[in-house]
Amino acid sequence: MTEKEAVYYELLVLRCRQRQRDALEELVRTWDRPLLYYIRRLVEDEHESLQILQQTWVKVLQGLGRLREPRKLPMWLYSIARKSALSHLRSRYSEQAAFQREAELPDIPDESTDLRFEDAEQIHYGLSRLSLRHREVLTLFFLQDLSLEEIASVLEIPVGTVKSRLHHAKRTLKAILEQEESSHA
Amino acid sequence: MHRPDKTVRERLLDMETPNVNQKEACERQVQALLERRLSVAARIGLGLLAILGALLVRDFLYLWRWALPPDGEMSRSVTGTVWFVGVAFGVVYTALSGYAAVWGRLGSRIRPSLIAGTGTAMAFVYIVVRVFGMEYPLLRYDPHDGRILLVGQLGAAVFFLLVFGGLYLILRVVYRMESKTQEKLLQLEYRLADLGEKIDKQQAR
Repeated sequence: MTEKEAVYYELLVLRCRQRQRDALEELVRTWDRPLLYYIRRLVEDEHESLQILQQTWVKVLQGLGRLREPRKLPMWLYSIARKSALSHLRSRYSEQAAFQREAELPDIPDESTDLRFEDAEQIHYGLSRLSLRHREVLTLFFLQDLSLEEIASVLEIPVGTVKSRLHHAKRTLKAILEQEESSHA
Repeated sequence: MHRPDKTVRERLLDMETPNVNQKEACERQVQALLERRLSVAARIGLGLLAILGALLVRDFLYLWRWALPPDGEMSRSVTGTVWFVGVAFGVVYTALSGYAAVWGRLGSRIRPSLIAGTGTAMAFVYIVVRVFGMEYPLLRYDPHDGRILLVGQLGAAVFFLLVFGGLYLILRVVYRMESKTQEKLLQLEYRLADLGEKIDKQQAR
């Protein structure tokens, strides 16, 4: 995160705490779509996702006054969105079941070399085929709002685990996309 | 923060547009941020508080008619002002809590602090008036000392009301000024960071 971005977040939080309507609109306008995209990757149903998004915003408003590090606003927003989504998932299924799909996926050999992803449409499609654990780390990575340390903080896991999970997720995504390409060829 | 290709992010976000109109959704979210829906229990509670406020207003009006001292015993302007303030706070409190109970929301239009503030002021004035009303008969027995006692007590009560009210207002103004100063400093810091970024870019070319 650049110094400019950090100051911008602090300023935005301060203005929101002052209940400036334009600041709240700016906050929602800036973060509504990324948060929705992230939540949609965790919860499949669109209607439920919108409900979780609404819950997230309510929690954001309630917690803005207590936010200790306003410069880490994006991390905080994603954390709240994640907790809201997981709470929803827990109420629907057990968390274990939600993450179970990962174990069912086949191992991908470590031979992929080019792991660059340029096609957003393919990524979008590929994400839906990944396990929840891989999907959420890769979604946060592609949304480009957080550093690896911040992703680790949002997911409540060590940075090393984020790196390895990200590595495996990219390889799996690439394998899925290649498989898809070959089936169309 | 890694932003190797910002367009990938933007294109991903474009792919996730909800069915509802984005602008409407945004406005709804802001409205949700500014307003808090009240539970049925909270609405009932506020309704009861509104009824209590209305009863106190009625009591104030009754006291006005019953206990307003005739000219000469006590200045009508002093007692009249106290009762008027009490009635005014009571009416505002009743209207606010009643409206919130009916509307079912607290937030941008009616803030909880506003209801609490007017309620506290109304209760304070009511207690003062009640105490004053209980001691008022003293005037009949000892007009001179009784008047001094009552005026002194009324003056002390008004003094405390003004001191606490003034203190609250001063703290609020100080907090606002501090917040505004911090905002200005951050705006300045943001401009400096922006300038620094532009200079770095120019040097990199």
